[in-house]
Amino acid sequence: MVELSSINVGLKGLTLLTITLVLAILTLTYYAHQGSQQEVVVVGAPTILYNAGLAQRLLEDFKFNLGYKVEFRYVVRGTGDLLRLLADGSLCIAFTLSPPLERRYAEEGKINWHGVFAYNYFIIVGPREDPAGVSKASNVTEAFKRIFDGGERGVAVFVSRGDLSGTHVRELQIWSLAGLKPEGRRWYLRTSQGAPETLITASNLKAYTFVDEGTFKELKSRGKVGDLEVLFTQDTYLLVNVYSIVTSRHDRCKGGHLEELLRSIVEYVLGEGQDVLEREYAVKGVFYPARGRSELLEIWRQLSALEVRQGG
Amino acid sequence: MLDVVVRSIYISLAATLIAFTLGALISLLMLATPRRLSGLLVGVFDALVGVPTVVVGLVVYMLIHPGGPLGFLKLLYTPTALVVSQSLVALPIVVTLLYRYFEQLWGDVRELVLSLGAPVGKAYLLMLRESPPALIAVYLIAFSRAIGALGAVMVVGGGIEGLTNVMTTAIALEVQVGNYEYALTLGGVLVVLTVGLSLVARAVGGLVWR
Repeated sequence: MVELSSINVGLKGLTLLTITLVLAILTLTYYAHQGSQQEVVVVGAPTILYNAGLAQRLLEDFKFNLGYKVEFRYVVRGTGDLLRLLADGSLCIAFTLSPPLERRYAEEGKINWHGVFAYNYFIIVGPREDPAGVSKASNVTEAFKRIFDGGERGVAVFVSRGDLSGTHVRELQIWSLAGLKPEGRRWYLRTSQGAPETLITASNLKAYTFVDEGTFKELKSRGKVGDLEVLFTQDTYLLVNVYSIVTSRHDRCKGGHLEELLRSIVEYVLGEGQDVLEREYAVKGVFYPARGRSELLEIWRQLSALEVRQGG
Repeated sequence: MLDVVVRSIYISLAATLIAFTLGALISLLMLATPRRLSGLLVGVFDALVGVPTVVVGLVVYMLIHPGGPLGFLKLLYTPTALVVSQSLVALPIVVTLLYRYFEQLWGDVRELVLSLGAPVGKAYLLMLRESPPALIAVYLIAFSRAIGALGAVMVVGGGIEGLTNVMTTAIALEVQVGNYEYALTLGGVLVVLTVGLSLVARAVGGLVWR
């Protein structure tokens, strides 16, 4: 009799637990399927483009003008991460900004590279006093050399993204071209974080860093990086930041309506969407449309062929 | 901001419910397994308590991404994926705490009741009658762990605005763009929320069971 009641209590407890579990799962499934009526496309966007609102603006404009019923959702990451997600088929389409990585993934047959749709410039920023004399450099490799020398003399610190983002990859390419190996030096710091955080870190440390002008202008205007000034700019292909549109070649992204949708997005971004860039971004000097600048393709080629050397 | 807070609570409550239910089942089963095996298991769960949540997220990602074994469920970048990851994050702490609690109580109560000449079944009843306050405490600890997870939800949820952006990912994304003040406000809300919930649950538990 007593044994029986103890068993009963145990069973009751287990039944209760099972019921709650089933209820939880049911609620969840309901929640997950709610609001998934519309076709959804998850778009990969680099932090820079998302924060400037450019990725969203272009795709909303696409929807509005072409009358597509589709909901865009954004995964915001560095280019290296985005390309990996494309290769997995976790994303079908993304904006990216790292020619060598794009080329590598394209050559491995993981992605389709469709073209450059926008560009802007990389700049070197640093403390107003410019202890390493970067502003006196006549070209970008010399500017990097001055930072290196300044670092060795103990008067300069350089903060690198260190996250294999488009910006970081370019920085590595320039060090490589200058024949310098800053990795592992005491004055060479890596944040492994996004451009804004890296800028703030550089500002706090009175250090030099390498960044795109759009991000810098935006943070500067918000008073977040008061101690930093633009110290070096130049119209050279080495400092042109090219933004590409790429799609995944994963099976999940192939066939039917999705493939057609992806194609029209690409066409739009490289075509009509250029007007939006011209009208709303070029005037602010943040991003410029790629249309009519055929030399950008050559720049992309040159950049994608440059060696990326990583690690000490 | 409100939608992010509501979404966070909803997802984490669901995740905690699953973690707690599974954890309770596991710890009860462990009570019934031979001591050597349960000792080994408890060691494993102890160690898992501190696993970085991003590792949990990566494991779940590998399972649910389109090429993964569970890819057909299309869970990537959905709230469900967040619930699954968070419940895995919270599970080990539920198991270790509940198992220790049950084990100790079981020993004490059984000896006491047996020494008074009462049957084993009474001891079992007594243990469950004593449990609710402790169960609530464990539930809340699990909830804190779930709602505070960042890496796991960033990897499988993507921090998508309006869908999978919860408080931790929102904080991380705001920090990423240099909005430290806003991020800190969100962090404050997160702390107030977990502390407040804990206090309320304790008060309610005290009223009902003491």
